[in-house]
Amino acid sequence: MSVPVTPTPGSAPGAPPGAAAPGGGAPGVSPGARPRLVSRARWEGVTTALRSPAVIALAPLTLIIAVFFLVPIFGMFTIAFAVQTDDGGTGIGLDNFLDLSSHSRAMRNSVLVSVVGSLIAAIAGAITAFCIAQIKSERLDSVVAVFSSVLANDGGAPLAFSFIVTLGNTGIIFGLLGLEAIGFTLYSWQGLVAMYQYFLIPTMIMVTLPTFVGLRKEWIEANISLGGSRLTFWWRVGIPIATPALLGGWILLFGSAFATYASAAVLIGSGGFPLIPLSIDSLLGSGLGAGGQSTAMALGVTMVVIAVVVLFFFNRLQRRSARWLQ
Amino acid sequence: MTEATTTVRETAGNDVVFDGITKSFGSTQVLQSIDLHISSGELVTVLGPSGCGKTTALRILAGFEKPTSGRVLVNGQDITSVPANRRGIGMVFQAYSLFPNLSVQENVEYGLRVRRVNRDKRAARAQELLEMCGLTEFASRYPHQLSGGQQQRVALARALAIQPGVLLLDEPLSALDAIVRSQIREEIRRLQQQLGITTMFVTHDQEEALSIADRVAVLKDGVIEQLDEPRTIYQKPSTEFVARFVGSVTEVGVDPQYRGGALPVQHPDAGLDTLFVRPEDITLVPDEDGPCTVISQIYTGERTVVRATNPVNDLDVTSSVSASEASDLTPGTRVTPQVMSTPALRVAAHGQSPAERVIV
Amino acid sequence: MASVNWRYSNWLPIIAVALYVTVPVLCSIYYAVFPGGRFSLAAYSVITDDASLAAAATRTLLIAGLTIVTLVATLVPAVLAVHLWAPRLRPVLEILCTLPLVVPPIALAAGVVALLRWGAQQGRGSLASEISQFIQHPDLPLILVGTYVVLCLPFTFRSIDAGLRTIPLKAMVEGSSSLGSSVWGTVWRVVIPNIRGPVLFSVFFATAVCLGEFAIAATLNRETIPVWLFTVSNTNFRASIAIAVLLNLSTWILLLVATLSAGRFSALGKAKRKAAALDEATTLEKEAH
Repeated sequence: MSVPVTPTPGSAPGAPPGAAAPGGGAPGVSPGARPRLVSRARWEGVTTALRSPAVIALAPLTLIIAVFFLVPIFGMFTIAFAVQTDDGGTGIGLDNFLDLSSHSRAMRNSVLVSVVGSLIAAIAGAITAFCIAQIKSERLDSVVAVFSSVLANDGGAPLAFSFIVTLGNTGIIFGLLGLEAIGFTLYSWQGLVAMYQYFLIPTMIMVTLPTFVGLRKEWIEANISLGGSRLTFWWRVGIPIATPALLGGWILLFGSAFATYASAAVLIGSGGFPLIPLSIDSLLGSGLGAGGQSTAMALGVTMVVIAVVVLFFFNRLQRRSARWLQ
Repeated sequence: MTEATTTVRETAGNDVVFDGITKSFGSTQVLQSIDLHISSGELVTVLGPSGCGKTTALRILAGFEKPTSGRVLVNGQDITSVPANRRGIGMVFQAYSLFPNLSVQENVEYGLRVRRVNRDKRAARAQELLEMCGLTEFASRYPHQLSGGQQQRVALARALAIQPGVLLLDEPLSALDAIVRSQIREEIRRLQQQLGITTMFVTHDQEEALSIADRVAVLKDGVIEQLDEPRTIYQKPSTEFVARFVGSVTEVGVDPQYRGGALPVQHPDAGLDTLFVRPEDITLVPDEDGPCTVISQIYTGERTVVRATNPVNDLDVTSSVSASEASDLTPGTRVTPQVMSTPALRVAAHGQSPAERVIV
Repeated sequence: MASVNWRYSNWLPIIAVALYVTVPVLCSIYYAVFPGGRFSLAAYSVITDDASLAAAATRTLLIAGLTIVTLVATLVPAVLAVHLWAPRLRPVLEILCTLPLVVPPIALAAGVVALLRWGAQQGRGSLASEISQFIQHPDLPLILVGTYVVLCLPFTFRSIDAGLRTIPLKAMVEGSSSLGSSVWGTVWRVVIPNIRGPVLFSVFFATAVCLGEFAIAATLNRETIPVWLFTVSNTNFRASIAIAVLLNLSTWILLLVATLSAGRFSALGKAKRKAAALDEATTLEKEAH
């Protein structure tokens, strides 16, 4: 990597102090030059800024995010909102979203699986995170942090395979526990919920562990010295402090369950239990032409909107608990 | 306010006794048979370097640690096995102990809420305390909206709200900057005297310990080195550690026959007594043939600290003089140091009888 | 002064979750190597018998390698830049890097499909069409490398961001440049060694993403290992399980190595040791007063 010429105070003799802003990405205008619209000084300022280490360091990542993330998402939105007008041209409209009514069953299923799955995982994950924090071992904390952040992303096809041999109709644990007797089958919404726990619980642990670790010893001891019991502490201090993180975690789990595709695709296929992500895939793959594609994009936009709403609330709640745990 | 004071007075003023308290964590002994009596309404600071066991002693009184052996008595009653939340002892922590999800008022009310005091009484009591601590306008704020000093005031009000018989402060000022620190120090002392509450104040800052206390206990390696009034601790330290840890001191060796006057500036050595002399007990007399040379002056306002060194053995002597005296003591001046009053401590040479340790 | 409060009941939920996570893997292993109750590695014969697996594996590893290099080479300088020179851009970068977390991969896949179709529609020989062809190349689908880098961003950004926050970055860089070192020289010699833990985590995390991602690869019809597994599962389920187990275990071992090495070399660990040493020094100093 070449060494860029950086504007340092020492390299510009005669410049009054503070005139050139080294780094920071701000174009430093040479002293004395009148800031005309395209003055030479300003142009030099821009080129200096472009050669500054900040710009050089930020450019490649920005490019990647733009090409492989922002542009595809923008393209999706464009197609989703594009409609044929009466005179044969294209305009902006919500026509593609009207087609979504035919996918209402997929929407209902997705919501059902996501709500139930995220709720169970939120409770189980929070309890586990709480217990991990109680053990007070930094080594355990860091091991859990790494493993949970990777398991949180483990919604792939192999997950479905391993659940099929574990809890499927001929699965090993399925037989051992006699799950057939209670009418459980993996190929149902209950099965999806059970499978989703595999990555939802670690997600919850990952999100809430810092909160539980961050509960200060001073708060617990202050409660005791003021006459409180363990119960009073959790009722009046511990749980209120953890609530934003718990709610935020739950919302995140909902979003994560809603977006899961690969494992659901393997387990359910395009068969009897439609989910939104599966519908998108089948619409994209179907040779229905532009109509199918537009509906797929409209579904994609719907998912993004749901996801953004999820992130928004997650972020608000996280910030609140972060302020408390400073 | 007077009403509150009287109600508090009825319960305050419990005396505290540490009776042979020993504490070990595994194989390390943190406290070695501590005996300490804090009288009713007295403020005792526990002073020592970090790791000396001072915080452990406080936590044993609070009930957060169990002593390995020994008893803790409050008001004559053995509370060694009483759980921390039944002791009714107020505690102020180093920092960050306020509940972040509760407002200032709710924090102050917390102890009363736990005791199921009804809403009106709770609010009235909280108002009283907030007024006492100058916090009325912050009642509805949350801890993260307060400065460090304000947070510690709230912590104090919260601890006092339960009308504790004993108040414990665990380095409550160490996270604050210098000006706020002395302000709150004075406030703590004022409230403590006003309420007549028995107080144990742990700190590693000797100036803080001396300025606030009725008596100071200097702790080293789990043993109380000295327990005395601040003046005595400073002027008559009973051990070398106390002499060195509290205030600044010049250590010199003198002949056992030395009874004051011109100070031969030599290192403590076999056959010599060791003198520990405070800066204000040393005078530097300008003298062409003096053994020392002034090397620096540090102006501190009321006094000027002058350092002189003996070039033969590099031993430094520190003296504190008035501004007018300092003008004669510019760096480079040859001087003879003299000890005019009783030095803080004199340790006899090996083999000498203790009687000769009497000074001047 | 830590009073050890070893409460075994706290381990119960942890063990339960650990079991929930490991049992499916154990069952898969059993299913793969004990067909009919007797030990046999027959399922693994697919490795030599099926050339498409080798092709898929090569493709996946190539994609993983390129993803790791691209991720580290673009993300580390970018996070460094917002810490050192453009702190005001940090929130912007944070949002950009977190967004992929909430955009479902299948939605991203839909967007990518839309983009590529648009490129292809620009007519044979046009630049857009050429680029579209190039990044979809069946042997080396660069489009997957790019999208996988994007998918890795949310977690790896946080890790590197947190790593840089624990070290006195500004003082390090200023100190080093006052000694005459260039900016990039300082970054290479001083900063990178101090965030070895987070960088290592990013490498292994990216590996895990590349070995597991299915939605985008399947939608674009590029046969990576997960897609191969899906295809083969229709005809030879035991073989797909066998390979999935292999994949899973290697990911976990990688992670274990990552955790252990990150713990030993991380800036955090070093900082803690330093803080302890400092504490001791100040204690001695106070005693001397």
